[in-house]
Amino acid sequence: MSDWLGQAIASPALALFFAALLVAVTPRLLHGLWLVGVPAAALALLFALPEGMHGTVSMFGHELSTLRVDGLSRLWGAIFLLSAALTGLYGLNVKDRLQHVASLLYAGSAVGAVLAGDLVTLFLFWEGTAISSVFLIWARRTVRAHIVGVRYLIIQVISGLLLMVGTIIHQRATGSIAFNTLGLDSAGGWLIFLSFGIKAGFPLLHNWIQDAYPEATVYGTVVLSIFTTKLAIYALARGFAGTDLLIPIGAVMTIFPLIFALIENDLRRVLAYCLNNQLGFMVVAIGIGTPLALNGAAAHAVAHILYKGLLFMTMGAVLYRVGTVKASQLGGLYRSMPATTVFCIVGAMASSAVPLFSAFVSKSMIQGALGYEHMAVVWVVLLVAAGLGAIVPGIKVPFFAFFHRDRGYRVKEAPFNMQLAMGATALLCIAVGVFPGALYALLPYEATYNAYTLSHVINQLQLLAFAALAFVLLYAARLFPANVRGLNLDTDWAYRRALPALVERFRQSSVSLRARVMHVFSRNGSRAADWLASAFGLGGAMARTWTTGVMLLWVIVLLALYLVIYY
Amino acid sequence: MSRPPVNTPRLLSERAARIPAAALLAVCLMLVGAEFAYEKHPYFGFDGFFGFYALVGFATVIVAVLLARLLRPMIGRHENHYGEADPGIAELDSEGPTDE
Repeated sequence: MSDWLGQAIASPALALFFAALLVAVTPRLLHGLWLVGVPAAALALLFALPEGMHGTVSMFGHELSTLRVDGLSRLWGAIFLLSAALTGLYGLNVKDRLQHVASLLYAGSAVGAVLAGDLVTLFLFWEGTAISSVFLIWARRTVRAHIVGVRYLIIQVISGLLLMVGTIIHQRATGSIAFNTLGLDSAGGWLIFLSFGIKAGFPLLHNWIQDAYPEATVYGTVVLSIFTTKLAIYALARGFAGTDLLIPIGAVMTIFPLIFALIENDLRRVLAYCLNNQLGFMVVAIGIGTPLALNGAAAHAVAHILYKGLLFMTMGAVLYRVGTVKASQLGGLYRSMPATTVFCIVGAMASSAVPLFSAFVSKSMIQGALGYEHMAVVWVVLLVAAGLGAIVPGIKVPFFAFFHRDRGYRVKEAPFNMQLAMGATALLCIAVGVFPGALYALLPYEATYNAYTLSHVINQLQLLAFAALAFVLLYAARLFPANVRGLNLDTDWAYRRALPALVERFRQSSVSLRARVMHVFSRNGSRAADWLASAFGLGGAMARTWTTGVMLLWVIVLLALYLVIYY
Repeated sequence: MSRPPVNTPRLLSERAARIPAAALLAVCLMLVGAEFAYEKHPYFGFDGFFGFYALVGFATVIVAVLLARLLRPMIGRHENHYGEADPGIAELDSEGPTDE
């Protein structure tokens, strides 16, 4: 009876693609069904699928496995589908079909990529996420969103190309396209690593996140924050678990984005920097590669998707009602948007890993794994990042948006469907923190862990409370960076300023070179031109009509010449 | 948006904000006091020192904020630095309204 469950047609990804089609052609009244109902049904389907490799399809002379169900892919698929349903609810009030279609195609591609059992399938869905997601930026329909979208797409496509070339080299070297542990032993492995690294926001490759995410629509940014980067984390966990290089890379990622976040004015960009920092925790965990660490990475991905999605939802609601998320213009919104304020605070507490909130039970697994492996330096780096995380986004986002100075905005509370989505996500953030057993039971590897020991709870509370105290003192002393309008240079400077400037200089120098050459020509112009005209002009030797006999003679001469040269 | 933004006094300068600040201080003191009441399980040794987590939390934020303050003049630019700002902002000649 359940034979079809093993076929490619049973893919939850296809269900989402089908929902996208339905959203495109059915009246708006039914959209809720497709946006929320189908991802929920696909979630049930995912859990109905038996473990193992299914959905074999022949393509390009290879057997592709489109449905690999195991602990790791099931957990990632489940959180992607759950968050697709939540964001669907959040975006119900959006009339723009384009955004709904794009987000369903995007979510479907991400789920398909997670369930891919081979690198070719992964590549196809990998590109699917890039092409569908850019419409969530373009849907803002401003000139800047268009420019940013093009930049975003270029970087995503570069990642896809690296994956494709890496896959080809890897297949030539090993004869296999299976997507399992890849390692860095071959050129193919390195290219695939780089491809994953771009999407995971490795240092210096990260800036597309902060460039693009804050420029998408209210709904689009929430959707964007979920899939691409966590898909990359999944891919790293699948292909490069235990790769030592990931530990220093991740450690750098946990710190430097937070310094940028401290001085960033656009609160959705602040969140994008903090997203980058949280990816660092997962990258470190994958680098450690022990069962506990990998479980920590998986658990943190789940917790992170929920609380970061929630924070982006609240800032989306602010943007929707107020028209800006620039901290320099915001303040005092708790009077107008009390529910959104509460949801934002819940998201911030979950993000700061306050005990009884989601990140506490996941981040501590990573910290614990580092402790058990005696990696003192990285352990301290991550502890520092966790302390700073209490300030950005923990305090900065809710405080400057909803409290601080009353800027006089008297707006309506967020639309009901947004509140519902934020409420549900907030509840999940708390539920994961209060009942971590449910999440731990879904984790892919065998490792027992208890986050709630007395010493651990008090240590964490000390860290956070004293970080908050430092903030209060800095704020009272007016030392906390003021919210100033402006932008901050990041690595995007290289391709937005330096590279174009270099190209412009090259263009100018080639123009001047051309002018000089032309000058030489024009001085001796008449002589050169006369010669050219005599050879190639209308009456020139080359333009004459030759008889067949002469042509034949020349052919014979040339052939004779060849003969002489060859002997 | 029903009213244009107005600047009112900063929250912390209001009396009401002193209560949560004082409460936070009390919580901090209690948490340090709690160090005597439970057994620590340090991974390395140095993380078992008295008030280690409190010190890390406090020092981290102070140092990071000071670093960020140093960084801002180096990387901070006008909103229209890349010529991509929204039309209203592109016309501003100077930095817009600030917080302080």
